[in-house]
Amino acid sequence: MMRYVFHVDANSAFLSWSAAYRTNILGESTDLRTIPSIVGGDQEKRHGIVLAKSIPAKKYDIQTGEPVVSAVKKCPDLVVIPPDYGLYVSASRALIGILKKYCDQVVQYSIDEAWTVFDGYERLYEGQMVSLAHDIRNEVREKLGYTVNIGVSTNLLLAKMAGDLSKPDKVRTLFPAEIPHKMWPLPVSDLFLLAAQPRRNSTGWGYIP
Amino acid sequence: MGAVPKMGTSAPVNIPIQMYCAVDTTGRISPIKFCFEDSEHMICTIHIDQIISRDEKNYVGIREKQFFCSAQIDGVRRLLEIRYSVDTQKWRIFQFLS
Repeated sequence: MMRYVFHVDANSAFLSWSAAYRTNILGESTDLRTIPSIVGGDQEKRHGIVLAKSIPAKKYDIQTGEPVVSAVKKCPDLVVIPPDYGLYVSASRALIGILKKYCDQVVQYSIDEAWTVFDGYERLYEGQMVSLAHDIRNEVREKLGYTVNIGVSTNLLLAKMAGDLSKPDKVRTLFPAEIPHKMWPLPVSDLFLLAAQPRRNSTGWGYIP
Repeated sequence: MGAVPKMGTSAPVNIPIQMYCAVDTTGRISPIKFCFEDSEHMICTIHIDQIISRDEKNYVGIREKQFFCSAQIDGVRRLLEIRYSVDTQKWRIFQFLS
């Protein structure tokens, strides 16, 4: 009997949730996810950092955590919106609610990501795990209005790594047998939970950085 | 009515309304008539002729009930989408469809 684990991660969570709220609830015609935009601090008071960025904003080399002032200098047409934490909690709860429809073991890791552990679900989902992951991804997109990445594997670490392989709105697998061709080419710094110091040290141990 | 856009425009308007509705024994809500303040600060009352369809949405975890209705406004039959936020218990005209 094999255990399957999904890692579900909302794409650019704060930005996506604010964008989905503006388009689906308020009816705005411009989707913030399609233009250079960020969720950041108070621009008028000239403080705050980039909390989330859209995919078009990445092309301007805008980094999460950098000052909003610096981000606006890189992209003068950047749209900056304030965070709405009440909305984010609501969106997060809705995501977890959908996951709990499919699995009783949902391990929430942060506001926008969680693992689902399918242990003992062989008779229900055996042979259909990737299809199930697509069903969950589609349901989140259609019902909640934003996209997620789902990594599929047999343990939490590999499922998390699988979800990071390509984004957005994708389902990716990283089973143990796939480690040589999917994981070995990646830099050591991509390893989940590997802190900065061991990364620097590991380059001297013969590991490929 | 200044707040009501002309026919042919379908951009969301998000006009807050005071709704009179009926709720049956199963909890099913049926809007009956609503009032809103127009641009001249006059209160207008509109009777809903027909509820064409209903739906419930949960975008980003915000539960809203959608009602597609027809009503006579200024002597013209208009189709409109009305939304009810379950959490805040507020009603609004989301957009005019015709």
